[in-house]
Amino acid sequence: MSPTSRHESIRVGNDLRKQFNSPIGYFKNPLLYNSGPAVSDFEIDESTGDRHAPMREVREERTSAKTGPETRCTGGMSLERLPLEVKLRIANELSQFDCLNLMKTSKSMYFSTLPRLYQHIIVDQNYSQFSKEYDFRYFYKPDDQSESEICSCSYIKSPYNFKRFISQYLELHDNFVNRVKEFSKYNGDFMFPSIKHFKCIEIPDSLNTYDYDLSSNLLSFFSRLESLHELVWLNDNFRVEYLTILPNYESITDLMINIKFSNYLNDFSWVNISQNNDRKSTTNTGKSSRDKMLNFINVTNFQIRPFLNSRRLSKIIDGLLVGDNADRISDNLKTLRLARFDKDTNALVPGYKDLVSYTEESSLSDLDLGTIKSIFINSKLKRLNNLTNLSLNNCLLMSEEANILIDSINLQQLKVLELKNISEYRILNRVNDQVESIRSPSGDTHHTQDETTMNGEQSFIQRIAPYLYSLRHLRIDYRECLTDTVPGFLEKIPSEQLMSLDVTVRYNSSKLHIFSDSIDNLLRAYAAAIISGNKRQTLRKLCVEIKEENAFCDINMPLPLNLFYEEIRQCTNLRSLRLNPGDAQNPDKVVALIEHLSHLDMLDVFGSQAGGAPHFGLGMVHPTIFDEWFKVQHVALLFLRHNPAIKYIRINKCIFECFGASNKVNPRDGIDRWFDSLVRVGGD
Amino acid sequence: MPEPKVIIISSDDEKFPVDVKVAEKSILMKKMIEDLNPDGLEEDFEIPTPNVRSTVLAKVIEWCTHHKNTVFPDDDDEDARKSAPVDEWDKNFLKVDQEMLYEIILAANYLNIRPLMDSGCKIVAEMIRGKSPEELRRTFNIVNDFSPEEEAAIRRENEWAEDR
Repeated sequence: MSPTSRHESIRVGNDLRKQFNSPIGYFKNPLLYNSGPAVSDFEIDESTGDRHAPMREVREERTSAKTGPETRCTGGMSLERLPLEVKLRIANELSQFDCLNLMKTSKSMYFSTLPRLYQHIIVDQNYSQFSKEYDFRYFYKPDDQSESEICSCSYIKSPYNFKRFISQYLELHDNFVNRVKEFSKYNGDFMFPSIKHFKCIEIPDSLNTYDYDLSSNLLSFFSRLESLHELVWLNDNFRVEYLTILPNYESITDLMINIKFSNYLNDFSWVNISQNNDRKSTTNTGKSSRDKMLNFINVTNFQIRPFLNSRRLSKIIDGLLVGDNADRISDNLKTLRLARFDKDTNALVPGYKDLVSYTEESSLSDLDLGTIKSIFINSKLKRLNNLTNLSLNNCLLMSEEANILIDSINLQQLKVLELKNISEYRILNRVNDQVESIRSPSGDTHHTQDETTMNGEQSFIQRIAPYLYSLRHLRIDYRECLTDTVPGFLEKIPSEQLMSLDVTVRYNSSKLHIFSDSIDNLLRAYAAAIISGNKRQTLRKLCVEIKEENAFCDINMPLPLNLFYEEIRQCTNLRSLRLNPGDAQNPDKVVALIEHLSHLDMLDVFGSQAGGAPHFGLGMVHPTIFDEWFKVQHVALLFLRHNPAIKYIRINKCIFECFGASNKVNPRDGIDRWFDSLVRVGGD
Repeated sequence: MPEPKVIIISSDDEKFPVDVKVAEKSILMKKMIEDLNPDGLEEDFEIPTPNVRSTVLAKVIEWCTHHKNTVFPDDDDEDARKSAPVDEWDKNFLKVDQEMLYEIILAANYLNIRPLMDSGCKIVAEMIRGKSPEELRRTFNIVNDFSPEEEAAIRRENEWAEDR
């Protein structure tokens, strides 16, 4: 589309609305078979069609391989004769499949690719080798080294291969030396294929880890992971035995586990565990006191969910993390992420009306209030001077607890802060509140209201804001009653390098009185806060969600047409944007915004009308075909026409890979995790 | 007075005078220069590289000279390093015969020039990609030294990784 016609289409708002609401296949936008540059070619086009993408990939690889030097080797230096470290470095640039082929060529190549194959295992049933977004290359930076090293991964996706892998590793581990000897005439270098990273992102559904054979094999497997650095287990079938049986606690630096069904942790007596485990007591000779604890003294990254309640949380921190090395752990810890529940929900417990109480002795005992206290005061954890990444998910806080946080963490160092589904609980003094409610309707502007809130007291986030000097990434989803201090918090953050902001605006009827009974005033305060300070220049990633709170749950609301768009427009360096454009009848604003943001790579629009007015897709013409991607494809194409630089567009759940030059979009499946990690702040 | 130069001496005693900036692309040489000249370079400084041939060294210096002003993605910036494809110039620069390519990689490894090492390894990986074991043996002149039983054992042992 030429620039002139592009401008025309923007001027004529009607046109835009028509395009936004005319899905492909309807008479306004017919589905043209065999048409050249037609927009509806994702099912037919052989060169770009999704179903054919794998073929294309292979072809490309073949041809690119030919461009490299093809001359045969004649004596002198050869691939085989390179030192082991260099061969390993090359193997790290290969996918597991190419590695396997290389491995089968000769003994020396076998020994120089085997460590690559085993060093980093990712179990993910949704992995597809055609999702090139999931790179097999991975950089790991050991704490004691300045340079990160490449540690490429191998994926396992089926239950069968998971079991095979476990048993093969056991065999290899126990017979490796024999294997080297077995290979007669081999006298080159070799290196034991140790597993350094073991990540279970998504264990295949049909895999039963409680199955007798597998269960005992898994225990043996974990007892043989001598050089494990990173253990990730996101499914809920993790067992704490796996941790206790690890042979080398010192090697662990990253621990990210789901302990949902490790319920016995509640009355976990460490003495019992280590007594049953005679393997361990032989390795830690003489120091019986050390046997009782899991001493992960080098852990820098600790992520646990669900902790359920604060009493349990203290135990988890003491039992799984701190052990008897409080000083060292507290000094090492860089990342701390804690979530109350196994999965995120949009249930609001307690409801917003219960977030304030007028009497001290109210239902306090019912509410789990002491989360911060249980992390830092009731546990053995000391002041965390080097923490850079803090995430709390689903906690009830009181503003005084901010002081605990300020004392316990060197907040100046903090680079990433996630406060997800955090609610602030207040105890109000009746008299003060009445004063407040008399004062408010008299037309005070919201700014003065933000500064001093209830009882003239600052909220939790307002108290910590002045310390956040190095904050780069922020996710904030903060619930309050009778007040809203998030805009004030955003304005107060002194950091000058905030790159990502993921903010949830929450409104409920209790907040209205301080914003002169108008939701617009509340939203305006947020919109102004988003671009306060130098955020206009520094922001690379922005997500804005508006949620209306009802008694028990929240409802997503679209961005109002008269707010936010102008402000977001000023953030010209945005690389990724997530918003709810709302009204399908007025797409002009969102289209103009997307056209204006010239650096935009990733666009994520959501909401019931994000894909134009609801319709049946091809169901009208071809009954029973309700292709979700097909229904919203025309909107992705519309956005792409106005900003050809965009690389990926997600409309609700449908991700499209975009090719601006040819104005084509490819529907993509199975890359949601990757997309989320780029668009949002922090994972789920 | 002209700026003092770093003189790199190859294994066959050829001398390559280069600017400090060029030599500093090699972390090994950079550290050497810094450690032995704490007050900055005042006169020409000789660095012998006893395991790099002159032809290879000439190539490596050509690379360093070309990239003397290139800012490589920061080590911390994993995303940039991960997604960075091989630089077009590097690709053409490394269109040499295999033997030379390996020697450049070895030299980059020895001299600690990470970006050159990265590019070199990526080029070799590109040659390996998508080829069957038989094709690989032909391309890289690898002699199959497995017995049929060993070959079968290896295939079985690593079957789990064939999970496509």
